[in-house]
Formats: sequence, structure tokens, C-alpha cells
Amino acid sequence: MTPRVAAVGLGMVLAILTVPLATADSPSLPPLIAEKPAAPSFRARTLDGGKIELADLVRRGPVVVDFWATWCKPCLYALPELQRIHQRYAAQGVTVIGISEDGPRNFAKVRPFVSRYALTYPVVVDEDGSLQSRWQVRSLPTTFVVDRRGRIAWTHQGYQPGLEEMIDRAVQAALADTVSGDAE
Amino acid sequence: MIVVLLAALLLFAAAPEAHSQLSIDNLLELQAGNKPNTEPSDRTDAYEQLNATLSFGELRAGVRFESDHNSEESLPYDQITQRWLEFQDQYLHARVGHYTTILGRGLLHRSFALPAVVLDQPGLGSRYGFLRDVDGVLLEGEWGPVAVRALDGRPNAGDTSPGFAEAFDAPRHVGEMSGGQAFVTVWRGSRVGVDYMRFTPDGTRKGEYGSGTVELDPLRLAGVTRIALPLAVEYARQNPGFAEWFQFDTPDGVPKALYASANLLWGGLGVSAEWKDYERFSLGINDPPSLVREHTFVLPNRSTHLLHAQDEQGYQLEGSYRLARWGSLIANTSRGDGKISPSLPPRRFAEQYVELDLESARDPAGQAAFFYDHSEDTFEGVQGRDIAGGRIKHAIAWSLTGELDVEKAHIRIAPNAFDDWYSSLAIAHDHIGTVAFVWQRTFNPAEQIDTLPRDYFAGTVSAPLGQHHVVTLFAGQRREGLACTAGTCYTVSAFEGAELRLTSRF
Repeated sequence: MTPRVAAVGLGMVLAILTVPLATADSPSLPPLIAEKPAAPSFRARTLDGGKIELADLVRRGPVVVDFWATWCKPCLYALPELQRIHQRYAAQGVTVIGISEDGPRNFAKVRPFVSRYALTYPVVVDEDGSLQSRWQVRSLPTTFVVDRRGRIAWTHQGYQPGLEEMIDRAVQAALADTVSGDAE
Repeated sequence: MIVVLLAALLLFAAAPEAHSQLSIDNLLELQAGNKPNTEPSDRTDAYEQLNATLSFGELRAGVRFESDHNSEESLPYDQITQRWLEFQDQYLHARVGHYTTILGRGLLHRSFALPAVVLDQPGLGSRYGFLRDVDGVLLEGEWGPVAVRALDGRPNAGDTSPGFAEAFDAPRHVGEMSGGQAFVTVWRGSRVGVDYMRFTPDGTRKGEYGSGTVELDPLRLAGVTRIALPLAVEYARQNPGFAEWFQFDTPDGVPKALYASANLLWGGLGVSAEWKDYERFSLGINDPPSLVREHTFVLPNRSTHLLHAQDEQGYQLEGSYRLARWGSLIANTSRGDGKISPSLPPRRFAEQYVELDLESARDPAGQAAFFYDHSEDTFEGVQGRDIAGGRIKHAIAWSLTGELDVEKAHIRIAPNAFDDWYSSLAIAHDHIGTVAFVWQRTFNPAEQIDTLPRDYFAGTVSAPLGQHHVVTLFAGQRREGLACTAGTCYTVSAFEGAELRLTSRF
């Protein structure tokens, strides 16, 4: 690695680490990089033609947002676990949403795929990739838990065994967190 | 433009009461080893990609910074490769700068990014993120049943690194394109839409294209809810006049594309059927559906058919049936016929695929899948290809899960016939991460160096570091070849050595 690259890398790492520290000293100002950033809003069309809007869902309770695709092997392992989360928490106002990152090659396969996995939570297709970009998703699957204040309370990139347990804990924490409570 | 964006970023950041929010994601990839197809081949490389977005209510501004430096200082660069400013509320989305989008099913236009894919400039070793974006203006609006999209800008074909563009004064964004679409939701989810695109790739040639789309579910329109039959069709062609549209008349030789799809969903049965008829429709800025199955298994994925949109007609049928508590059965058949040149005989791609997925009643994490794939692809000179294999995943003990994947291919490319083997063993811990070992063996004469067979060994360790970072260490030999991600295929360069990838998001 050249000294120039090392300097650039070190500079970025320091910038990332120091921005929240620098702002945290001022209690009246929210940190520029929030520990629980606001979830990017979206309104999307589900596979069955309905419309969902994150702001509406958040009013009902925490929202689990899963970015996945039909061609992504680790995503296939996560789908049954998300379905179980949906069945376990739907009655408590928790919504699970699947956001398919399939392109034109696989648009026609998404509905049969959802049917094959017997997924009963809403699924939308991010046809233009705008949701992936706005949510800064770099790998699939990536799973978020959005709390009732519309903040991203928990994030997990990729799949590993035990994901269901991790989501479960994050959902329970989000359910226990009340809107009138302290922000951080 | 950059000055305006930087000023906007500073303005946002300087407004403390406005709750501006900065989001950052970063990809750092370090390589040390040997790249057989570059000269000299022994080299180190550091690739960095940082995306920063500053949000301020309904306004957002963002930049992407990319940097690549290798030990040979071959096409090094440190560049801001994307910058944009956007406004979005409930009804309107306006973006100035770089963006990605799609018109219809991608027949006329699709721009996109593959966030985790880093490409090598062939033969030169300069690395860059996979990005086919547009630099210009994007406007989108939705009012009740009407949704519209308008765009203008210069497209990026995504085939050159910023370092190449800088060194050879070859801009990545070339040509001019303008277009848009309007969709109206009519009743019970059925939609009709029209698309238009004007594209000037080199400042002299100009093409105008139009398309029409219909999406409906006749059963849903009839009030049937137990069975779904969603249908979609998009027809596109060059220089459409109203009379020709009305009469559905397309003279010979005029670029045209027809895509249609149907689903049937009934209990555990799911069927998708697609048809394609593409003639001279490889526009350079579009991405028509290929109607070729995208596989999760490795050997079928690296030997897939690449769409020849200049002349290809065909279909794809896929059916799946789910048996509760057992798993599912999938069957797929696809075919594409066309010519790569008027003077050469017709070519054919055909594939038949079956897969059996099994679930474990006792272990929720336990799964097994077995497949068989037969194909021919005379577009690529492949007379026949038979691939079979399977994978088994099961919990072991101490929060560990093991996964074994074994695949074998027999390939006939005249005058040769050879075998390929792929096997991997992965051990994952619930809370720590994953270790995987991969062994590939090929008898392909094209890959012979000294003797055959040729073996490729590799190991990977991947682990999350808290919620913000994921680190992946690769060591060993990476086999050159085709890879497909998100429906898009690209070439993975051969590599021997170690690679460290750190993905971060804040």
C-alpha cells in the first residue's frame, strides 16, 4: 500500500470515528452520525398490488425490513426465519417487509418464489434499485429493525445461523421501547 | 456541480437545529498476490469506495469517493465518481446528478449498481465498483393512480475504471439520452403504461424508441382470490409512429422487442412462464429480461447463457410445488434461438433443470437441495453440458452449523469433452462467523498450465464486527470465469493470494 493510500484510508477512518465523538459533547445537538439513524421513508407497491408506506407501519409498531433476492442463497436460509418472526409478532403490531432486489431477469419469478416459501408477509420488488441505494444496502441479505420512532434500531448484514434469535431480541427491544421514552 | 454539492453539504451540516443526518458506508478491499492476466502479475492493490449521504428533511445530498492504487501504479485514481442532490416528498422525487433507474421491464432502459462487486479493468488491473449509472436529471411523481418518470442525462456503460478514463481521457459517461414513462393503475391492480426513449450514443446517430405495457390479473378482475394469474406484456420498437402502433405493424429490420410473462399461483403450486422476441435490441443502455434461469449453485451459475438481444427468440417455463413439512420441487425449461450473424447458421440455447429442496422436521436450520441441469448453448459453442450436485446444511453442536456443497459438470465443447468439480465445506458459528474451504478441479484444456487436471484451493473467513462492520478474508486461488449477481453477468478475474474486505456502514 502506498503512503498516499494509507493516508487516505486513515483519514477516512478518523473522520468516521471522530464525527460522532465531536458532536456528542454538545448535549443540545443531535450527533451528525446518529447511533439510531432515521430510517429512509418509502412508499411501495406490494406483489399483490397493494401499497405500503413505512410511516404508516411504524405507527402500528416496529418494522423488520429484509432486503433479499431469489438468486441469493443465504437469503433463502433467512426467509423461513423471517416468516416465523412475522407469525410470532404480527398480533403485536410488528410488520415484516421483504424487499426483493431482483432485476428484470427475475421479476416474473418473485411471486411464485414467495408462494413456494409460503411467505405471508408483504413483499415489494425494488425495480429501480432506489430502496437499496437509500438504505445503503451493500450485501444480501441485509436486515433492519425499525423502531416505533422510525429509527433504525438494529442492522445485520449477511446471513448466519442464529439470525432469527438476533431479530427476535431486536424486535423485543423495539417493542419494549416506548415512543415517550428517552431518545437514546 | 461538485462545488454546489459541497456547498450544500456544508450548509446542511452547519444547520445544527435542523437535525441533519450523515450516513456513511465504506468498502475497503486489499489484495496481495498474483493476477495471471496482468503484467507484471505479482502485485498488491488497495481499493476503497466510500458513499456519504447527508439528509436534511426532504433534501439529501450524496457523494461516492473511489480510489484504487496498486503496486505498479497502473491507472491509479482518487476520484469522486458520483455526486447528487435530491428532493423527495410524498408525491415528488427530483434528483440532479448521478442516478439509476428503469423504464418498464428494462426493454428501453435500465441503469443500476451492484454494490458489492468490484471489477478489474481487463489486462490492466485497475479496480472499480460495478456501476452503470446516468449523470443528469431524474423526475418522478405519483398522484393517485398515475405514476410518471422522466429522465435526461449521459449514460455510463460501466466498462471502464475511473483510472482508465482519467489516463486515456475517455469519459465514462458518453452520449445523450432522454425519456420517460407514464403508468396508470386502472382497476384491481391492473396497469397500463407507455415508455419513450431517445438515445444518441455518439453525437451523430440518433434512435427513438417507444413501448407500451399492460399488466393485469384476469382472475382478480373477476373477483377470484384463491388463484392468481398475473399477466404482463411489453412491446417496444424503434421510431414508432401512431399509425404503426395502432395497426401493430413492424416492418422487417426495424429494431423491436416483445416480452410477456404470466404467473399461476394456486396453493403450493407456482408457475412462471415468459416469452421473448428481441431483434436488434441491444441498445447499450437497456437490460431486457434474458429468460435464463439464475442459479444459486456455483457450476450452473458460471456456465449460464448470455442473452443475445440482437437476435433471440424463446421462452422460459418454471414450476414449483411446495409440500408442507417436506420441501419443494422445482422444474425449469428455457430456450433461445437466434443468429449471431446473418451469414452464419442459427444458434440455440436450451436448458432443462430440476431441483429438489428438502427441509428437516427436527432441525429448523437443516436443509438439503439436489439438482440436475442439462443444457446446450451453440451461441457459445457448447454442444452439451450436464451438471449435477447438491448441498446439505445441518446444525452440528456448540452453536455450529455445517454446510457441504458438491457439484460435477460434464461439458462438451468440440473437439473436447471434460469434467469440472466444485466442492465447498462451510462451518458457521451463531455468534462469531463463518469459515469455508473451497476445492475446484477442472479438466478443461483451456485452463491447462502444466498438467491436467488443474486444482484451485481457497479458504474464506467472514465475521461481523459489531453491527457496523463485516470483515472477510480470502486466501487461495480464485478461478477466472463468468459470475452472475442480481441477474447481471460479468467476468471474475483469476487471482492467487490473499484478499481482505472490510464493509462498514454508519
